[in-house]
Amino acid sequence: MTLMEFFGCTFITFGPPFALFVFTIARDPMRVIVLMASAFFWLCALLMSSIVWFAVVPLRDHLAFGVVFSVLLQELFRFLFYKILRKAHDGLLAVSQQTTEQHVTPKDFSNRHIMAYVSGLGFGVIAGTFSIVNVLADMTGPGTIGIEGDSKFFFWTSACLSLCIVLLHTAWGVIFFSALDKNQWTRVIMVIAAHMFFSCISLVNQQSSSDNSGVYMGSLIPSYLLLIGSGAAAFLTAGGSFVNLKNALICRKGRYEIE
Amino acid sequence: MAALRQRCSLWLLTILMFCLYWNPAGSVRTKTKIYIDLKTQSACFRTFNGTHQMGCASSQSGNVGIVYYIQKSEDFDWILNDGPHAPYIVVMDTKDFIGDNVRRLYKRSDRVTGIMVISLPPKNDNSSSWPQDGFSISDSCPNDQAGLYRDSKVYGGCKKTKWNLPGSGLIREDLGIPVFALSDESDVDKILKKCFFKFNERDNGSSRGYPLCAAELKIQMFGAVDTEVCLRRSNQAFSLLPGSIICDPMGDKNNHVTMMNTPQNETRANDSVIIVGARMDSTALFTLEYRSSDTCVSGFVTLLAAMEALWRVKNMIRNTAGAKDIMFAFFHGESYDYIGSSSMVYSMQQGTFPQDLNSDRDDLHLHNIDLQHIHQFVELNQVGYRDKGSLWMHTDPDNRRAKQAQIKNMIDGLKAATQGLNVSLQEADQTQPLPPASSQRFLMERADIPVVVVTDHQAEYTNKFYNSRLDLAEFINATDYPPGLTEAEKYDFVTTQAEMISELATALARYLYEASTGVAPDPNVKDTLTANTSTVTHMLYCFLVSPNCELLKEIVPHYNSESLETALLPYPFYVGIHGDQSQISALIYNLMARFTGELVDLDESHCKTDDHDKRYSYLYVQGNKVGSGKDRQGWCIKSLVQDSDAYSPAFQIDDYDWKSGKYSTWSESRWAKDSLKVRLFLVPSPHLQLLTLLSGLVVLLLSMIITYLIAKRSGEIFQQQQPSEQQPTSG
Repeated sequence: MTLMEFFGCTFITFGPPFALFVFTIARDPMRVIVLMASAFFWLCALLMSSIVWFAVVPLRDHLAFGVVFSVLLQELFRFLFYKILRKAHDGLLAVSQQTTEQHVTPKDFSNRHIMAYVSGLGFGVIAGTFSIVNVLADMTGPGTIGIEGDSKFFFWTSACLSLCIVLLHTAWGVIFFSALDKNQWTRVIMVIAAHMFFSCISLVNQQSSSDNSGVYMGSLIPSYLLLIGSGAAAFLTAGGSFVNLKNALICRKGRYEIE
Repeated sequence: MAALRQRCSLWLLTILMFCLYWNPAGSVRTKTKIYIDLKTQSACFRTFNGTHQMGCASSQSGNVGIVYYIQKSEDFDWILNDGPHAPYIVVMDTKDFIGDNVRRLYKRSDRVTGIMVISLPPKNDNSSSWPQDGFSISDSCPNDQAGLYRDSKVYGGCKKTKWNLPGSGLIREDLGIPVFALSDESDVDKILKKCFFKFNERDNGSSRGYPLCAAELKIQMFGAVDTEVCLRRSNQAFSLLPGSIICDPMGDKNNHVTMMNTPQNETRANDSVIIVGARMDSTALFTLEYRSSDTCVSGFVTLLAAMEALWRVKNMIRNTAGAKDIMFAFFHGESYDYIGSSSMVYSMQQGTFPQDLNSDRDDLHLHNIDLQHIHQFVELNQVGYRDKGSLWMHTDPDNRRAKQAQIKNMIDGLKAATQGLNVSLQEADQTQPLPPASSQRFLMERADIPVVVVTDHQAEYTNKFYNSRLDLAEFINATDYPPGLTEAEKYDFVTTQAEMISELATALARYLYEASTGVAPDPNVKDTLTANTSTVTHMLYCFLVSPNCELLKEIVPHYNSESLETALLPYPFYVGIHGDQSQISALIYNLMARFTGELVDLDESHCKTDDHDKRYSYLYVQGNKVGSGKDRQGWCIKSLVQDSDAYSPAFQIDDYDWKSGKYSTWSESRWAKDSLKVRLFLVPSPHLQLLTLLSGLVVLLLSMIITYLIAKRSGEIFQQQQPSEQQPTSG
């Protein structure tokens, strides 16, 4: 009854994005729209990557080639989305002010990190979905992986890596947009490099087998370390700090200040 | 900036090289890593009769169980009592697949959810691969309730002689679980090496731990309950929609040919037709595993050879004053309560035999044959083996009392016909009833037709594999080729069985000549009435080894030629459903036309039944080869060969009482193209599954809580920098 595995892996991959969606995005139509739009841009990047992969016939079997180009195209489309979002900024502001929606606060637009976060999450959710949904579909049958010699932790590892990519894209969105806002090109390069690193390290998983499950750690650990690093960078970029965190969660001082 | 760009591009290049170093991978759907599909489509399927449902089926998505291979008898106890991972899917060898074992397993459906039997041809002549005492899916008294003795207190229920000792009766049991046969080497390899021995085999008596290898067996059958209910459901108002018909009655075509062409405007005297008959079908438990050698092939090949010999002197017989008509009849569906013979008797009683045409029209058709026209009935049953070196003639005791003189004549005549031939015919015990035979249905309607049934057993069957996939050609020496022959050489090689059949066919032809004309054949005629051994061995090859043979290629129309060439196995002998004619009855029809008909000079478009003389049937076939290429002559054959429906009267009579048991009520459930499937996979331990689920729930819960808290306090956590201020990069 690997239905349990199916639900377990679904919750692992989509639990945090779902929580993020429910508590930070769902109430705000503008954010939902930006989320969907950025997801669409990721899909365009995927389309272009497939065309490139399909066109280069001799290298079709070499996954690594496809991965490299896919990463570059995704970042390109992230850049394009940034451009569009910033250009549309004034228009969106005008639209949001005409309608007297109570929950559309100007904060969405004065704080540029919010839309960066939303677009990063959009990229992440769709990237995560595409990376795991086929595997989830095959999980619902009566069998689990292993009869051909693969490791039994395949499903669990796939789910963890997919979660990782969702959160990584979210963090990179924040860093990327803020770096472009401030013309900090080194940061942009670092995001691209981090993405490349993550994708290439996942190729290590091909070496796994039922006796060699430890290989998965070779991709999981660096990926999660990268996640912690990117997450911290994004957190700091968005204006957070450890002190603020401590104040907000532990101390009661400053809770009643009007923003 | 240029330096930076150069550094970046260099870095990218390095990464690219680094990544390309990794091993190449093709895209693989996860499903192919989880499941191993087996090729087998040889499943036991669901059948019905008027009162019961029989055969096998699984749940709609398939039955799942842990694979266990039975290697010794203790394994049965493990599966049924001790094994901790029930339910199991049992894999067994052919030698263990006998009635009692199968019953033990399927009756415990809580512990056994499916069975697979390894059915490979043995690598050497190892007789231990077969069940010791034989195997047959019929019961020990086949067709008892459909035959002459169903109400008999003396002979009913095989009180005198149990004919089919290895009979398991599985044909009439509702196994309720899917059962498959594995006849492909790679399938057996996968299930034993990749699945059972790797993951499931007990070590030193204790069971293995997870992950365990499991199988899913799917046999989705559409019909249920019994023939009556199934047909009613099929015939409901929406029956025009595809997929609404869920079962089909079994049936096929009977073939017959008469020596005389008596038209309807002449008289046919009572007691003027000699019928000589044999069956064309056998059955087995699994689709695609229908073999037969003794059960039906031995009989009908003998009849065809006798026919071929006899028709050489047809003019002599036809011109003899007062000669009796001879009808050769081939019945289909006899394994299922005599579908063919009961159908023929019924159509005789309706006056529609052999041709169903109005008699007030002025074109000619064959005079009908009714039960009162029958003079005698000689039937060939299984004739491949020998019992004490001889073949045996059986009679019905009551029938014998009624027609003492005639039956004595028949028996003496048959014995006399074997003179000078290498075949021996003896009389079986006179107090013994008839074995299961098509002629029983004739006796049920007219008890004074003298009947003699020729078989290869004196009492019980010598054939240990009657109606079974194990009724192999090797056992009757029909394929005893010396080693190293090519297929073409095997086709021409006269096997031991071919010689035996030729002798019997010769005796039969000589007997029929005398029985019809009343005069013994003189030496010239006797010589002519000798079966052609070459033709006999060709027929045996075509029906038992491969249909890709010259004899069949000559007698099929050109559009069927490809089917012969691409056939990998001999054609199946199972009757199948009515409306879907089997290859066997079609080929026998054409062979009969070839042996009894004459070639006429008509081209393909004109080779059809004459408007005014409907007695003759016309058949256009490929014919023999011309030259060395692929061209063939093209023959138009004109003959008196007819076919008629082998379709149980139960399905033709309005408001037939399905519980009466008067006629065969067998039907077959329908299934879809992808309804039969076996696949193998691993099942994880329940603990691992639970762990995965719990970790998922934990992650979900934690993320909800953390996100809620942070979202609520997001204003304080993320302090906004003023957009105009330039902040040094942090972190």
